[in-house]
Amino acid sequence: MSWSILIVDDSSLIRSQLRAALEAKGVRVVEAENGSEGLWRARENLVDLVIADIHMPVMDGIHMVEELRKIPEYATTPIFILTSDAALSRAEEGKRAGANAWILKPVKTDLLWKAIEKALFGRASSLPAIQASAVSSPGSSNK
Amino acid sequence: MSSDKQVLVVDTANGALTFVMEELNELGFRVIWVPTLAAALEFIEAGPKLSLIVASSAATKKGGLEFLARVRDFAPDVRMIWGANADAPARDTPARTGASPDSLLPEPFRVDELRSAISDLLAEHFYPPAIADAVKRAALEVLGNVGGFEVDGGAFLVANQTALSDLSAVIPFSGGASGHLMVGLTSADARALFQAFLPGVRPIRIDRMEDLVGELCNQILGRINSFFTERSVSIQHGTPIFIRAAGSTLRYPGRQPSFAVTLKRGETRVALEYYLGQFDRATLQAPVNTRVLRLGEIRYL
Repeated sequence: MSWSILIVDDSSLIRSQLRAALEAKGVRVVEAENGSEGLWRARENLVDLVIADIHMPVMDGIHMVEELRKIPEYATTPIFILTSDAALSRAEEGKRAGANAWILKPVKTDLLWKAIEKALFGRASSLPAIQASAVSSPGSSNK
Repeated sequence: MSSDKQVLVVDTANGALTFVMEELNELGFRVIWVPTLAAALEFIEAGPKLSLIVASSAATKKGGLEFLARVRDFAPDVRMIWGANADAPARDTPARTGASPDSLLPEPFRVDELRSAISDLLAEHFYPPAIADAVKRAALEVLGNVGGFEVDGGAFLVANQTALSDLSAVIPFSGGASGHLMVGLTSADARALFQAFLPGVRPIRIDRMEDLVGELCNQILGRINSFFTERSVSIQHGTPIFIRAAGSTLRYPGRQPSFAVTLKRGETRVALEYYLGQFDRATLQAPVNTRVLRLGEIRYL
């Protein structure tokens, strides 16, 4: 069974780049241009993982994640924020909204793929284990 | 931003430097005009905050070298642009003496030469080297994703208006500092860059190239903002505003000039214009106590 991933970004360039990289790995990709459309697509297609930008028109990524977490089917779905915002204080906002990872653009697709595999394999086999390993200590990074 | 943005223009009453005064005014300087070197010296010795003196050859024909020496003694930090009359004997030009101006320009002044001289001498009044470096570094980091870009001929300041490229994107920012970043490319350059970012994708429609320009603007501004975040200055930025207007001029109300820099890779050029309207210079000295993510870093939450 192949994974499905929802990409929510107002940049068609980013969506195209991610789609090309993910489809090459056999992933089924669903796209949305903003948070509002992202919520709609997420309800329409139950996806395994969500990658969302922050700065988007109509509904921003933080608000979308908050709303997504209210949907029972998405209570534990891995959600990655892919953004140009490097401030850790903003990452804390993402964490409070329910995101699992904060990734700074532009990201190398092989690193992103490793993070996706880590999240999805962990989720499929042992969710508590992936949650424990996913907590970074302050000042550290996980590439 | 700076409290010493005053320029003293020394020129006889023939108005040869009128356009220079207008240009400096456009760049956000308060311009003071005096007709003689004696009046200029009197003004300088009163101790005003002054960043630049522009003097015509007509005004400095007599006593110019003495004036230069006095200014160097009294206000060594003041930068000087001096007009050189092509007809003047070489022995009379200040470059051949001990005291010399920072820039010696042939008269009549040409706008591009004057702008270049002002930029070289005064850029740090508006954009301290730390910020100028942050802008260049951010652009090189983001464009480094496709490799091979370099800063083309340094950076320069422009007045509060700019000639637009075929495809431009502007993102305003606000918070502890406010302003905007604009990125502009010609259609041909945008097409070439799009192919570098997404090889094999056809057709390359104009809206997709525009989207590339917007995304570059977004990512570069994000990197510039991290410079401020590292200094505990919080900045928020929005989504891009797109402009398709080759050959047109964008004019915006601002009290400072923009910091402009062009990056190139082969024949491809990316033009950046960074406008910083408000920020507290003291923050540049503040201890770095806010960690930011590195490019491409993944932080698990």
